[in-house]
Amino acid sequence: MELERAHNELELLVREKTADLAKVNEDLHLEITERNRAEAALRESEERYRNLSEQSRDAIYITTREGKLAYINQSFLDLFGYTRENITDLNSKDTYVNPDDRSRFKKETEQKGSVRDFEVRLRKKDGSEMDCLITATVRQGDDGNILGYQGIIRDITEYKRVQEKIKEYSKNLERMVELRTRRLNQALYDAEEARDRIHGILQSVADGLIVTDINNRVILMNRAAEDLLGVDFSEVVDRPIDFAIQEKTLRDRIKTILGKKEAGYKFDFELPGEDTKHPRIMHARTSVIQGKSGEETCIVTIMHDVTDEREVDRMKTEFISTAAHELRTPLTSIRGFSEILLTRDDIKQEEKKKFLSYINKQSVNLANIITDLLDISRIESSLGFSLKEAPCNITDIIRGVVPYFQEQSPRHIFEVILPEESVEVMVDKEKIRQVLENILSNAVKYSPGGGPICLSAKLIADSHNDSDLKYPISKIQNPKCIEISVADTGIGMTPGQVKRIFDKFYRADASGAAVPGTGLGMSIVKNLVEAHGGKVWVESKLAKGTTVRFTIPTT
Amino acid sequence: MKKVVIVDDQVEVRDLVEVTLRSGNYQVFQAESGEEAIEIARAEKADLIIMDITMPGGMDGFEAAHALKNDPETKDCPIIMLTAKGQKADRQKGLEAGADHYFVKPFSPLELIKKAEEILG
Repeated sequence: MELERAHNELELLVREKTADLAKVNEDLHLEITERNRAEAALRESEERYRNLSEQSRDAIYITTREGKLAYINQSFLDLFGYTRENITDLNSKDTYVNPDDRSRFKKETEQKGSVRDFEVRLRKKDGSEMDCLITATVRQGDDGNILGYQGIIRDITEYKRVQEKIKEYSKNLERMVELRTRRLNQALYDAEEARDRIHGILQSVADGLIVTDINNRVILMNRAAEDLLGVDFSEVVDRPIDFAIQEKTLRDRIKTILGKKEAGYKFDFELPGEDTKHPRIMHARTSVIQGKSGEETCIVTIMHDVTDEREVDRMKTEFISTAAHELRTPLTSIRGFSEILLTRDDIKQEEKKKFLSYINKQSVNLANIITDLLDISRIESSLGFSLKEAPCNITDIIRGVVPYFQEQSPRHIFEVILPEESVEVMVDKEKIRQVLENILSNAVKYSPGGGPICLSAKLIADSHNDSDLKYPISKIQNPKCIEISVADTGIGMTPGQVKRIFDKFYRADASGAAVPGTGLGMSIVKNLVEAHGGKVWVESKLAKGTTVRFTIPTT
Repeated sequence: MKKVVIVDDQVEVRDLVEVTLRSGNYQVFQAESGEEAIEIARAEKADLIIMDITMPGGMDGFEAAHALKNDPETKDCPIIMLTAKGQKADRQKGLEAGADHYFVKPFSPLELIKKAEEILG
């Protein structure tokens, strides 16, 4: 019984234990299956990441904190030039060209937990160096300890090289741009300077200058042209020539030059002068400026005031005919009377004498005209004349010229008022006589009706002061000049004629031509008086008469 | 006796013409101005006038010639211009003013007397 009970008890125990065991076994089995499955999943995941990592073109690595390589991908090997076999001993710190970079990397990564694009220079197996960017994170254990780092290395050597190149290119470009800019600035400066210079030249040119384009618009006008035409350039710039230029001849000539075969025109036109009787004569030249391909680009017109030149030309022409006339007059008597004396037997003795005196007188006239001509030509050629100065008494010279004129011109009454005492001067006697003769012959010629001609001389203080400072001898202690005047009561002159009296070839009545003369007399007088240190001036009133005064310094 | 008027402001020229024509049996009248010449020509019924152009005073030779040729009393009287104005234009002007002949100074007295004889026959 006991045994049976014991057996039964035992059997029950065994059955219980067996059941327990079976349960445990079943649990174990379950757990294994679970674990296997988890392991498989992990493996699969790992495999997936490994594949991903292996396929990455960036170098991926995992290191310990000491730099031992825990994992690297194929790109890492390729990048550094290793194989799986010969990389085993490589420590990551050996790849740093600059060891400080690694300390910096570690410090920064550990501080921040990660770095992005940390730039370092790394060394390959063959010793060559490369610029790399590391993007990495720290690996931490469950306890927070830093186990190491994992990251991606990207070789930017080529990128940097290109970058460097680009920088260099851009620097070169900058330099070239700068150089070109500088050259351009210089060229611009030169051009501006040239333009300013040309502008200055154009502005300072005394001739008027107008530039018009092919549409007959005014594009340039210098100051002289503005003045001549009475136009403000700023008001007519780019305006049609019809608006800008009122003078018809000028305008039409500029307008008609275009398309013509001639390169330019030369023409004269008139501009209003001081009064309507005396227009200014302008000589103008237009020329068409052609571009490189021969097309007409603009028209340049230059205007030159030739009023004075034309006047001198006119006076010269007139002078030549007057001179010829003047030479013919004395020659008439010389030739005529000599022919009479040679061919006729009926001439009485006293007549012969008279005729010979005519010949003689006219040959003197002829000689005087020639002297005048030579004097003026000497003055003209600026050779001047040499004065044969010698001390003499001026009142004697004055007295000496009167009888000749009185004899020649009995219709005139010559009145002579001279200081009683003799007046010593240092002069060329012949030249002073010439001065007096020229003035007296004018007085005679320009008072055709006869009448008094007053020749006087008085001592004065200073020839160069105003007339109100001239005192008669009695009031002056130290007279310095003698003033000689010739006053007639003839036809006189207008203020305009007085103004021109000393001009060469000028003759007060050129139009009338009734009064003979070369137009040189007063011009010679002025030159001779001034050569003696004196001064000459004229007062005249139309129909009342003329007074010529001149001074000679006394010794 | 043919009557000849010589008008010139210069006494030498007047004397020269007078002595030149004296041998040809002419009566010579001297005048100093255009006005005087016209006066004498009218009063004396002159047969020939020898006239200068450039003369001081109111009337020059052109004007005097013009006046003479426009006066019925003197219009048929021939005029010889005797002048120092030698230019073509002057000659033209002289002939237009009414001169029949034009002599330029200096002149030959022999030629002048020849011309006078030719004109007065």
